[in-house]
Amino acid sequence: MNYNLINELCTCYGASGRENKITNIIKQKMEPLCVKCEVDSFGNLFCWKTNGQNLLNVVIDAHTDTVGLSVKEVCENGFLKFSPVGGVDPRVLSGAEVTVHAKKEVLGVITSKPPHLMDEADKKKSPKFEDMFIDTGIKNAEQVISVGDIVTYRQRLDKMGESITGTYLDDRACCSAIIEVFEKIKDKDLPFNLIASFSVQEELGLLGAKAQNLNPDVVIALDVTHGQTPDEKSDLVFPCAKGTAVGFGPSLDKNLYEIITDCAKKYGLDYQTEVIEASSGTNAWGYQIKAKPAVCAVLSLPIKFMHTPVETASVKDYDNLVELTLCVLENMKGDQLESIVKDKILR
Amino acid sequence: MELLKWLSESAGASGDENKISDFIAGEVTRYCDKVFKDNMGNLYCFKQGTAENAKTIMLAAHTDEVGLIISSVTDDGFLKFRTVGGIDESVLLAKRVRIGENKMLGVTGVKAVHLSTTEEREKKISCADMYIDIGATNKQEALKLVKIGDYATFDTEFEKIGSLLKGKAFDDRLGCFILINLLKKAHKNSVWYCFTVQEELGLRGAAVVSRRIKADAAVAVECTTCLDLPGVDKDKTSTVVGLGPALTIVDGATYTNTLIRTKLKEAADKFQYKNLAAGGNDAGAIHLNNIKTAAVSIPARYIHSPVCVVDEADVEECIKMLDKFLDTEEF
Repeated sequence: MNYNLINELCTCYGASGRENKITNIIKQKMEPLCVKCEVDSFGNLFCWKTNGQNLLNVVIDAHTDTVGLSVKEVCENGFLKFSPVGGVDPRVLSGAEVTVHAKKEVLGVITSKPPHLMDEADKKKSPKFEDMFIDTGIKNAEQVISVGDIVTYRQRLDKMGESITGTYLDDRACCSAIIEVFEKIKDKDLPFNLIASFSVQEELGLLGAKAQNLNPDVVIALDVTHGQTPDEKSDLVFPCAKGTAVGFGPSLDKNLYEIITDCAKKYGLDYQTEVIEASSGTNAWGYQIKAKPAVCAVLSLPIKFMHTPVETASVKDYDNLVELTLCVLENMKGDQLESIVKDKILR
Repeated sequence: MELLKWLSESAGASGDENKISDFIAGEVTRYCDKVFKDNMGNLYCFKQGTAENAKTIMLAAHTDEVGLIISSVTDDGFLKFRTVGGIDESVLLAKRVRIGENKMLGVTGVKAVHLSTTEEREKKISCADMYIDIGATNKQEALKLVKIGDYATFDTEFEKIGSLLKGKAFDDRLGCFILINLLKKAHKNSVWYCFTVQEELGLRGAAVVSRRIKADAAVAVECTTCLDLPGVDKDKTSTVVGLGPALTIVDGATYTNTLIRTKLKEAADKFQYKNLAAGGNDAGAIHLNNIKTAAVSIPARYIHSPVCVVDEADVEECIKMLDKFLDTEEF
């Protein structure tokens, strides 16, 4: 794991719809590794390792946006009302530190009622967005902060044993993994064009992937899935430190799944199979429905406490994701690809 | 500020106050005429008064803070915990904590919101449902890093927030900070500066301290609740940040002594009355030993949460008030 890289990405601002800063940082890192880096009108960044004629286009995708909050009202004495951007759990907010991205970056804390002043109803109630404020401690906050300003969890990443914990592993960990893959594959000739896609507004409903006009032949979406915890041991979650979860299901290509898992077996890389019976909730789902449907796969990094300020992943799983992606790309044969992406002409 | 930063960031949940009181002893012993610590951990510091017939005043601040204690480890390496002192569960989820002597990083959690049923989301989360993740993958691995019975406290940096201050454990390290500032100077009255333990478990240290030493008057120097948020009625805020130290008339544990409260009021340039009779502090244990007792507190938003917010100006006003009060005659 390139810790400095993942740390830089996980602590960079970029809630859904405000991805400019993170996109620029990634672009700078990708430019030396690519023949072309372009941002489309929607904000998606595409980076071509090669741009050869008559070659299939293979995309590896991660989304740049994160969940966040947005300022709804600037009240007196530096208090702010807010609403969520993407799937934020109101239960994790009280007592959390946040950054308000206003004219300047402003520290805030999310309010709570002290137990001494709680009545019986308060003691039974789960926190709701409308009951909380952001306290900035700024007397004339309206001079600095405006309605619509975006708020993120206070950005932070730390090592914790053999894990990392912090903000926005979803999906910056995968952005970081893609950059590492590109660094490692830089000097290797591939029988297809490899394109990295850093897409926007995934948390609002896969909007960047749905809006793109790249129309690739193959898409491998790198995203996060749920890690196993003591209170959830169903087959919807995956134990940490046991390898990448490889998606299998109706919207995902069976042959591509086999290429990936054969590769993992051959090179002794851990993986787990994630059955995805409907939408994967990842950009693979968004990328597929185009005039030319992309052949899709999903590789997922198991993380615990998704969408909270303490998303936690195993370093081993991250390294496994980088290795597995690299291994698949290096071993995917041109004719293998041809056979899975071609229209079957029947008459 | 360096002193307050240390006091706020250091760990000392109830029952684990030694490091805090040892540090304070190191800071203050050279200024005092008598210093000792009892076997419970209470620290007593005496400073002789300058007046000929000096009376004795006790100032009490507690060294402990609310925290967590590790109660067991699951087979898959997560830590179960209980709260030490009154922490509402609603501030406990997805927080960073530091565990034990080695300050191991851990994070509190439950399964992600995506995996929770509507019923689970609506229900108030209980401590029993939560656990701490330290990145271990099994029990053995976890027990190499932490012990059952280790304390955990919030991992919060002390820093400015707007024009205010943010940190953990202001309740009652701010009280300790105020006492440390006052005892550098002799006053007309003799003063016992008492740094008490286990306040958060029910004013237990103060009960011992106030039996052990003789005082003519006492003041608990505290942090108190403050709910001065938009939309809260003016008479239900408890206190307001920035309006000066708050005098308690009555709370859940004490009806404060009118004479001492009046003397404090007379010594203040700026003060407010706490407007809710909720909670209690060391005054509740002290006044039962027939000592005329009052309480003065710094308003602290989100007290007993990982992030408390206070106004430095309230702390300065409190120091000024008590500095003058310690020279008071006729009480």
